[in-house]
Amino acid sequence: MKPKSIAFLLSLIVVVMVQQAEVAGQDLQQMLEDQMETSTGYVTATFKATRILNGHSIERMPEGQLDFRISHRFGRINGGAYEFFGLDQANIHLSLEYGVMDWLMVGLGRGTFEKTVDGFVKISPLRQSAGKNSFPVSISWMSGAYINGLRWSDPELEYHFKHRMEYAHQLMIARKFGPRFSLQLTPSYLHRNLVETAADPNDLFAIGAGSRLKITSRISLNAEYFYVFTPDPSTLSQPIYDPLSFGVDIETGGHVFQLIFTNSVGMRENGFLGQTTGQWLEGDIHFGFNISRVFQLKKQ
Amino acid sequence: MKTIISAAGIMLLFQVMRGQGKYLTNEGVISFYSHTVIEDITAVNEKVSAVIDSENGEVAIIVIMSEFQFEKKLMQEHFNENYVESEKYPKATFSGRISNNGEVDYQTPGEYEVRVEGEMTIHGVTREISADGTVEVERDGITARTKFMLNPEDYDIKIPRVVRNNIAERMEITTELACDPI
Repeated sequence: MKPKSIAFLLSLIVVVMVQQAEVAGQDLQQMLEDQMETSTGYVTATFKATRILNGHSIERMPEGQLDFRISHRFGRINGGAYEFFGLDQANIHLSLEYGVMDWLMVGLGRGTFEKTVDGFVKISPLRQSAGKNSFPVSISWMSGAYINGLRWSDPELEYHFKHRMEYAHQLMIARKFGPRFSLQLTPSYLHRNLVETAADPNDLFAIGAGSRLKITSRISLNAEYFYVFTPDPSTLSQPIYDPLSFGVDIETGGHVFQLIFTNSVGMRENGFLGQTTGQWLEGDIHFGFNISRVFQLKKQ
Repeated sequence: MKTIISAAGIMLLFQVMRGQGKYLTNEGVISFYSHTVIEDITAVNEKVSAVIDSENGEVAIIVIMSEFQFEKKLMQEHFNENYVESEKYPKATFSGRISNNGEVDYQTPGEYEVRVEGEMTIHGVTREISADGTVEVERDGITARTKFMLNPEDYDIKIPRVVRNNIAERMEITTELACDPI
């Protein structure tokens, strides 16, 4: 070998060794990071509870968890001091709601409003996720049935059980935009087997929008609005208005407290979509709250 | 010509040597245990990534926080959403070395006592830590184990007064990293 080539070889070895030293000193952390597979991360806590305020959120109870919910609406604030600003009147809705599977939830309830017994099924086929299999939104579906438990208003007429029934179906599409803000759109359909007069429609369509703004790790501000497609209100036996609600979610351990201001006294779809008679601008505002207490029935 | 061949040979040799002496896993296990009179809480993460360099004892660990599995789903949600804020700080990392690496014979199967020192980052807060553990050298890899105590408040993880009695001030962290050679 010529001295020249030896010199070249030596310098090459030096170059390669320096390179190697760099590689060895290269951040082990980086090397670890580079070989990690990107996994799919599902977005959690788009909303804190299974209700935004009155209406359902895309959230469900996970498998094996039971949610005992107490919802309460007082009377109208504009009742003044005589009515203790509505606090003299009370409307309550109690329900037990259970996660059968992570994507399937069922619930049963009973409310003061029209002495309603209600039941619902909610499924969540698609979850918002990032990473390997990313998907931009979470989608849930809710179907509910409501049985009016009031005595028949006109004893002269012949009523059947089916006349007590109302049904609602809702599609929920929500997206969590970062850790602080979530938005949901809720196309809804309500069918009532029996309505007050021929002028009142049996079918109502509505589109809802709900949002959550997280202000601390345990407190968030929520708002919810449903635009109800109704015929001219003056033709109805009683004019109905769009339900609009504002509230605060406060979370502690296994409880979620939701404090609410709303123009609707009904706490279920048949009530707030079909029978909201209050108007915000008239001061027909109800204060209220939802309390959710979660019990783990089945350990994982 | 000869020069080029020998140069290529040398480069190839170094290329083969690269990565030698390193052990890696993506299925390491880290669990934590919080004990109070009222409640015991455990969570397990079985998707921990770690690499150990036997040459110099360097260790790197990456923990995806949302992979911690709890018995109660609600607790898991609270852990991610309110305590460690996984969306903001998705990873916890450890970067350090086995300080007595010279005492570990990676060629001879057996269990060796080790001390690990380095920087741990959780919830965006980095702190120097050290822990005692063992490295078990097996025929087809090594398993590193440690057990140490950790105080969440050190990492700016706030525990509200309401649940103060349910969550221990100090958590017991157990690590088991079964790594394969690469």
